[in-house]
Amino acid sequence: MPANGPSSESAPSIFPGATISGRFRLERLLGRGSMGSVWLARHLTLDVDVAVKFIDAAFRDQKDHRNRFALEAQAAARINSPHVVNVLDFGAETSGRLYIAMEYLQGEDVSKLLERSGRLSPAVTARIVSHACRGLGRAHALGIAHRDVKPENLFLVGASEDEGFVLKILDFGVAKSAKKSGKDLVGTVVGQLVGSPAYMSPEQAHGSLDVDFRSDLFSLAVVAYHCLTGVVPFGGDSLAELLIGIVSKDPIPVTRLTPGLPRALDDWFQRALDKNPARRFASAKDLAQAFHMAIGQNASSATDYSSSSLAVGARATAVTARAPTAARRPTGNETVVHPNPATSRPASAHHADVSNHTASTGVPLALAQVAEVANVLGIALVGPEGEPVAHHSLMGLPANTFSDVTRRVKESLDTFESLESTRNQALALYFESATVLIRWVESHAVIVVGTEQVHPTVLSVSLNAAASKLQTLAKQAGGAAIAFRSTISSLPDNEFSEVSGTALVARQSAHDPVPDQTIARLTQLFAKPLGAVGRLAIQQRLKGGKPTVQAYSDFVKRLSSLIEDAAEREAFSADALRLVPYAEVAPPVPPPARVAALVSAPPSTQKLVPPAGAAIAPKLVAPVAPSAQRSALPTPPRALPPSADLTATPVPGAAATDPAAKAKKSVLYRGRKIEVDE
Amino acid sequence: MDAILKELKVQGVARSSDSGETLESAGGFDAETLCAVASVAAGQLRDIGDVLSAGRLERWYLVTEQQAYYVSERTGSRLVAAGEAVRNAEATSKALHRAAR
Repeated sequence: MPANGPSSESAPSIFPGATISGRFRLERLLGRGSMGSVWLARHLTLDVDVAVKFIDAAFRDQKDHRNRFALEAQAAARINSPHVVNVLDFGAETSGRLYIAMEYLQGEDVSKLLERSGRLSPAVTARIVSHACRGLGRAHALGIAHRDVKPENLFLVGASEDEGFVLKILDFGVAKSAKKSGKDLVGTVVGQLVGSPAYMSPEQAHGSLDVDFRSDLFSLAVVAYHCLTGVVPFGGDSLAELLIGIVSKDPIPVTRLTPGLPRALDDWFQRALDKNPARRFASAKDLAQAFHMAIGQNASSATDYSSSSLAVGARATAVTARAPTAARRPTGNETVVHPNPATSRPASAHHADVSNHTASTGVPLALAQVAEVANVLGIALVGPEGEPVAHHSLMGLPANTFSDVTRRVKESLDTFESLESTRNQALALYFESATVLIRWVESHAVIVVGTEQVHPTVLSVSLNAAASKLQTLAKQAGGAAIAFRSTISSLPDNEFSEVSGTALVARQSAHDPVPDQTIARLTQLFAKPLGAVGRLAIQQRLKGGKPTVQAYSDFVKRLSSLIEDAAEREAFSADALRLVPYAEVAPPVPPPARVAALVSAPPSTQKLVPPAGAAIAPKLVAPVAPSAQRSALPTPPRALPPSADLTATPVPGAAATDPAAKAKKSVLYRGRKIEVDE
Repeated sequence: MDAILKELKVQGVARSSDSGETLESAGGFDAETLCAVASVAAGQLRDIGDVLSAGRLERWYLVTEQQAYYVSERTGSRLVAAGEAVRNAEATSKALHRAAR
């Protein structure tokens, strides 16, 4: 909740420093709302600022006001939209006075902006209309009408002058639920005016009980009129004159008041301000889309509303639940949940895969909420191995683009591990015409791609909010670490050979070629002690590139020694990790029946020497001890002594193909031909 | 370099060639390693711009649990800085980018 200006507060139980319900410490009075005071407070456990709204002492014992206050909290909490102020808590302090704890917003409301600017540009007005419609659309989908839409209740978070704001609807204090209409809930009686007169709909002006979402759309159109022209469409010297104008007069066309506005806006206002609710726009979405079209903007950015996004998300989730292998293809603006391969396995009682959990519950919503920031091209949640869990695209950006970006980011940031071993939290890339932001959440990454018009602060705030939600969901699922271990334990016994605290190397056959993914992972694990240069050397060498260090053979010896030592210390599968000379893999084996897989632990556990590794492994692979599993596999290649030069086996004919081979020799590593300095 | 260090309130700042060679530095940090690492990382991060048809990489930053690394890219050179992990890395990144001009 925003500040409205200081005022006194007489109740002795509410004062600076007072602790409310053991959760909040009041800091200072921010102002007064329609039914009470609003305080800045500190959430004692979360250690964040919140706004706490108290019902006025005068209303404390009045049932209808208590009901209305409770409804405000319930309505805002149910709507759960990035464009509606977020309710954190609702309760009563010691004296029985009700309170609502809300997110603390910083910015200004539309009325303040209008006071400063007089009137607003069509683009800014369009953004206000668009965001308000998203919040209202969500409320209307739940059967909730706000009934007091006005500039003071439309709060702009962020920089309002450069369109980089996010609008949040405040004060559902006079909201009405379609499911519980009537005076019992909100104290509305026939003939009583509810709302702010200048922005009232004709049905509100009549004092009618039959007020629904179309009244909100009328009021929003009045706000839009005010924004574009600097004046409200209906006025008068008295309240009676104002109300008569609302119910009987046509407003002056906006193009007459503000020359230069598109003529189409006159038609838009004629429909939006129609006295008959049935002839107005049928939904918040229709109203916003029509507004964008009227001012000549591409409506594509306005087509994604909370209600529609949720519907898409819900459909995708349902598809995932029924048929995990049949996710819909992305087409334009929609949220897609990508089925995780693990979901195709029969679920075990202890299985709690974090990606599946988040995908089936909160991911589509969280992604859609972030994507609502205008000009965001797309957002995705990407799993530990770069697989897309879910993505939301406004411009048809395909899922594999997110995977590609994430993979490249991961590769590039590997080098930073030579500086420190802590996990990455956020990465921002600013290109000439696009912004890429990544936040890592547990073992997953949230990636947002926006255009250069995206206000960095707004995007960052939305991204952080989404990341927090995803983090909460992950914790609800038992945490990424637990999910990781549960995933491992749900695998059939014969599908893996070894488990450590950091990685699971699953191989069906000792003769299977190790996939690139595994090699990359092993490089990451074992090259770290060699430093940045050694790390780059091994990466490039394994990819078949040119070596960057001259003493490559010594380097490989050192690496193989490290691997041998680590294999003993960490119970890694030595045959899966060590470098195998060409002689041991010949003759070529046929393609493997099953592809080897590597499941990495969350970043926090990716240490070279996990002390708990030995203790964890037996629990995770309880039925079969590591040594027993190895014996059950086909005979693995013989482990070479650490001193052996593992790359020194010449490849016949290789030298003839390389003009520079005089100073080098070619060897095979895992079936690849590579060059080594003599 | 000293003026930038003072303005940004970071642990260290350095200017490097595009290939990662440290040209000048200030502050108490391993400038040579950071410049080398940033050079390698930048090469791959630039590719993302190609994937997205987003144009040239202008600036970037990485925040870890303990550190924040800021990089401002210029033609033929690079300005890097390292500081403590902060919530508002955006402001420091912008300031570094301004200083690089």
